[in-house]
Amino acid sequence: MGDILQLSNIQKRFGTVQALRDVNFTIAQGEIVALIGDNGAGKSTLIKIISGYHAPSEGRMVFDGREVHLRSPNEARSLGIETVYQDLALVENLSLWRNFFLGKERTSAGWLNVLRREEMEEACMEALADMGIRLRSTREEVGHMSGGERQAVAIARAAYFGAKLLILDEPTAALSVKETERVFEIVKEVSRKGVSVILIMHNLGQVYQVADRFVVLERGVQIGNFTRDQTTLDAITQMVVGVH
Amino acid sequence: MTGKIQLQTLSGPKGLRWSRTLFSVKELGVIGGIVLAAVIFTVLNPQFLSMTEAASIITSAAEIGIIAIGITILMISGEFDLSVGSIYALCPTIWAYLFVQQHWNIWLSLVCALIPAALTGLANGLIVTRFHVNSFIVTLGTQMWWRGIVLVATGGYPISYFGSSKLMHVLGGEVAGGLHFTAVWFVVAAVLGWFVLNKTKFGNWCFASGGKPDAARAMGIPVTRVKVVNFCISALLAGLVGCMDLARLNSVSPAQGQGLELTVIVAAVIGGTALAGGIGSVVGSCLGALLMGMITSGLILMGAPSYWYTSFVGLILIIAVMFNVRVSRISKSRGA
Repeated sequence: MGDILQLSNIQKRFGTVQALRDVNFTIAQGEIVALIGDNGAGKSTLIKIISGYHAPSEGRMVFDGREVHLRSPNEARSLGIETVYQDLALVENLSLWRNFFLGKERTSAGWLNVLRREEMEEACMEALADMGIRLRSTREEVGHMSGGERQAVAIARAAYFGAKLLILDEPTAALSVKETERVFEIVKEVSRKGVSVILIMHNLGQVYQVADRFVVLERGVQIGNFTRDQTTLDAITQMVVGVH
Repeated sequence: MTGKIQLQTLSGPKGLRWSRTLFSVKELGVIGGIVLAAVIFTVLNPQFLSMTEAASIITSAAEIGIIAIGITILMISGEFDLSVGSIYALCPTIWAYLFVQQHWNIWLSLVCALIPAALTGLANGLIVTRFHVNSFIVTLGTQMWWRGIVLVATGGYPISYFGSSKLMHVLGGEVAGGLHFTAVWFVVAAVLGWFVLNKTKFGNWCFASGGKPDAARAMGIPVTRVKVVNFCISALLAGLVGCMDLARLNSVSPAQGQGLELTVIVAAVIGGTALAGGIGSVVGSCLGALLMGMITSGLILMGAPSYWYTSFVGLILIIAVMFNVRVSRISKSRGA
């Protein structure tokens, strides 16, 4: 499979502060990459560059075979780079199907934009079933669902609407072990469907269960890039906490 | 191996789900209130169930209700409008001034009278969204601004018109048996409001904008535009109802509508609309307006001093909101 994202020599300066230097890695199609490092390592800056919030000061970004210069998050999204934030993903007081199609509603022709409700309910049900999420009805309010279920739905939604690269920022924060496993199942499911995933997580034990590759940052510098076969949990833990 | 995730919340024992359906009816509180008020007032005076009484209840409910529909849509999208009471006086004053005193065409005058309402809504919306001033403050400001101007411009005197006109008849004339056209417009506004909120894309955007603006924005919804449009709807409906009132009563007082903004918010809140946005229903607000109409008529029928109305509404407001909070907790806890 080809590469979905190639970063070469990415640098980012904010005034005189060098936030990132020399970041080089590639993400293959369907690959799950964990971006790890302590607070202030530059993970957020890098994510914001990939998702179009910041432009890099230097460096090349090739997405899906073409060099890109993202000017806005919307541009990134339209290319297929979707960021899912845990607490920003869904509107609790709306039903599941309304959330799923929020901003991308299917409507009948005419200025009133009447919702094609049954069609969307069915499509939502099918799309979730396709990701391994089985349910009876999509009319339930999202506020009644657990954190893990919401996260799963948000990920499934992004994949359904054509995301090629999903960025998940702390997707399992404040989730129970069981819920975390559910979220990981969905992450694996979308990756099997060819969607690449970047995971930012502090819990290395958890992220080690699911990621194919680990990119380690420290104070803006990329200090490691391993596939799972090349490393162990102990080794990456020691790199992150600085015993190396 | 493919992981199969069961959303457990969606499969519960049947009995629980039945009661949850009942408790998830957001209008439950106001329906209870209407039944209670009907029983009490009928016991006190059986006249309460007469046709004349029904017509008078619907007339007062219609005017509160139409404005409450606009307020409800606005509150669902996360904002308030306190300027409706002044706009309710402003528009008919301009209308009457133009066609009674300046002898303009009555239709053209109505259109011109409603323009300031639309512009006030636009100003409210833009100041709230662009300058990030709380809508409570902004609309309190526009309320005071217009009230002062109306009082200065009229010198505090009402304007009356006793001629007849087709437009006035259609806006506020009598249909039959004491029932006015305002009731017809109330039904039209309710159906339209319900339809837009529940069946259209815009309605979906309103709930999302008020429920969680950041998430709505992240999904590409123009939250600012939704709110500005709703400020305009709210102001226009208030202006229109003011004109209907002029058509019905043949007179407009520059002091009319003081406190109306709170009355309509009360109607919406009794009907289950949340102050924090994202939750509410047009049906609930209409029923809330109906309850207010019943209290007005019931108290008059009992010969009670009209000041009791204020006290009663205050009491019912608190009881209704306590009830709504409790019900939504039950429905939530059964869900989790």
